[in-house]
Amino acid sequence: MSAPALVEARNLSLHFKVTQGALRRAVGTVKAVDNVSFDIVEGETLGLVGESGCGKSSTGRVLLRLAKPTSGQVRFVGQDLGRLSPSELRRARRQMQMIFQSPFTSLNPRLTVEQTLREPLEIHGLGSNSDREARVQELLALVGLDPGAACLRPHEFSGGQRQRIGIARALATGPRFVVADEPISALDVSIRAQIVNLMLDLKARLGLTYLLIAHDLGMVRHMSDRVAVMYLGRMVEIAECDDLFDHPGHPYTKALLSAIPPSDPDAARDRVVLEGDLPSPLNPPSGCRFRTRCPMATELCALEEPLLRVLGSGPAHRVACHHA
Amino acid sequence: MAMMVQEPAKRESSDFAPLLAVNDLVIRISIEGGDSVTAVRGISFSIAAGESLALVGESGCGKSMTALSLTGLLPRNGRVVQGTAFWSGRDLLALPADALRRVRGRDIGMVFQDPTSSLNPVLTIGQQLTEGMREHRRIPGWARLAKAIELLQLVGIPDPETRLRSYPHEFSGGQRQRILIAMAIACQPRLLVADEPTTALDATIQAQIVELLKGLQKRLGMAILWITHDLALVAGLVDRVAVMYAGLIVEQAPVRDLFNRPRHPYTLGLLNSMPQTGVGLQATAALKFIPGTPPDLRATTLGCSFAPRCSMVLDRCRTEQPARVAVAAGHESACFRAGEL
Repeated sequence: MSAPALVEARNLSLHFKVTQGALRRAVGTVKAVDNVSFDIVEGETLGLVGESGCGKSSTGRVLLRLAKPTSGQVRFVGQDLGRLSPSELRRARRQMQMIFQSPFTSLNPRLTVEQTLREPLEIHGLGSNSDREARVQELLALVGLDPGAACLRPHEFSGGQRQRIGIARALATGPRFVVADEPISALDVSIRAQIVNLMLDLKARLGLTYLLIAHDLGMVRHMSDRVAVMYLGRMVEIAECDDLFDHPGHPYTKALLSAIPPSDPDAARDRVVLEGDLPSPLNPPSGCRFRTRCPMATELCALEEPLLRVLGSGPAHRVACHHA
Repeated sequence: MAMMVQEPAKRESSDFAPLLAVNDLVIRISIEGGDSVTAVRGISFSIAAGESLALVGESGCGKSMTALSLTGLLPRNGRVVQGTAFWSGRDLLALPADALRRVRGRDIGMVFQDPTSSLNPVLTIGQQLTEGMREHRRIPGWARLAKAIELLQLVGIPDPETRLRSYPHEFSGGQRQRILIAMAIACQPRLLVADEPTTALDATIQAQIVELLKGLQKRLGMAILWITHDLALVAGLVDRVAVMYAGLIVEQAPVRDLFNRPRHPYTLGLLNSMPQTGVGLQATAALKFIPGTPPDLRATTLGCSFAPRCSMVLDRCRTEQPARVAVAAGHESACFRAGEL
């Protein structure tokens, strides 16, 4: 890829110690994110998919340094976030923001919309008092809310409108990079398309770069330029969006795609229905972590962990599977 | 309170004798401050033996309340104020509690959304599996155990003899849902009510549970009432679909007809707002969407409750509730302009 990377993740890991009992004896480590590397190019949307517990949300949090990685580094516009001083990090954070899943719990019920939207501006010391007032109005218009919404509190809005407020708050400081963690999954079905369209429209107008974390594969396909798939803390496949959906290389990706319900009652298809459950992240299988559920697993898979390697269809398509 | 009650839909009775026939069901929920909202506003539908029907709608449309009322499990603040639900010649909604208890769990099995909160954490799986059989079928103890093992095998729990002694927390979410399905089918019900059985599960586990229920339906010949918000889920799954909006069934049709030619603007809007995911399809720039938000049930509506969001709205729609009428064989729509769709 020729465009410069806006965000670079290098050998990123986030491990949690699991303790037990009153003495908090360590009984194991959950490797929520385990040695993951990827780039996000300016202006693109990278979709990040996988089932609950696969580490996709943790990855998003580490990228924004809401969690400190156990090892590895995150570079944003070329600077290593781990080496920044607290004040430098705060400066960098203006440029990278987050949209949360639940518009019901991510907004402070006691604050008016204006207070909610002013808060990031005050924290970052952006603009004068009157600038901030103008910025609030600008943000409301940007996300399609009435100017009068400024003096209302969250409970006076529907779920879709609350998510618009959450998006406006994320955009307040004028970020370049936005992590959207399941931005539509808590919304009513008939509202989801509105928010998806709003996010795409904002991306085009403001030149945003998104990391879209979601489990709704239809929406991910609709919104993303590239898609990465995670399984138990590892990235198992990354490719251009259409390439991944049309020619999935990893057996897990194939199963995940085949779990999408058909949109046409007549669509006859071969469903790959996986056997078994996700293994415990405390004690992941040796070698390839997917091998216990994989229809193609061989002895090699238990012995040796496959690394991401380029698949035939182009250098942008990489798969971590011995048999792809 | 002026309330529009829908005319019960006419149905050719020669087609089949319904297993369950719900007629003009109205459910009211009391809310804080002594007010009440009408969650279900006069709906009618039926299910034939062995058939699968999906009740599809967004949160608050009344689909779950409908399912709960059939088995007498409405929350304390909910009340059936009108309607009948005939099951083998008896009205379930009028049955005394103990008679209903004999139907529920034996003739009608239930599976709910959250497999974790539906199981008792302090009883073993074996105890919970045999409870229904003890209540409803006179099966001796040794036979109950054998039956429980058979049920666990049927729903795909490995090593069932040992797992009978395990507690719910020792199973994964998908396995717990399998156990609940085993409990629901323990007495060989003729109808299974499945209220969002896969919503709390991951995508690959969801596919497992859907396949399991489809297989069991075929094998046991039971009818299934699927309650779901996900129109996409039902496409390859059920025989017929009833779409609910704001407490009413706005459209009902065989699944193919509904997807190929929806005859209500709400169904059309829902289908259009789904991104196409088939292989080789190109994503379009912007999704079509339904403007506005679902109505607040506390506000009394005059006319069609979808009118404020509808692209085909007429003046008449704002004052008059369209009745659900047949627009094609087995296909009913509650829209004045259904003929144009």
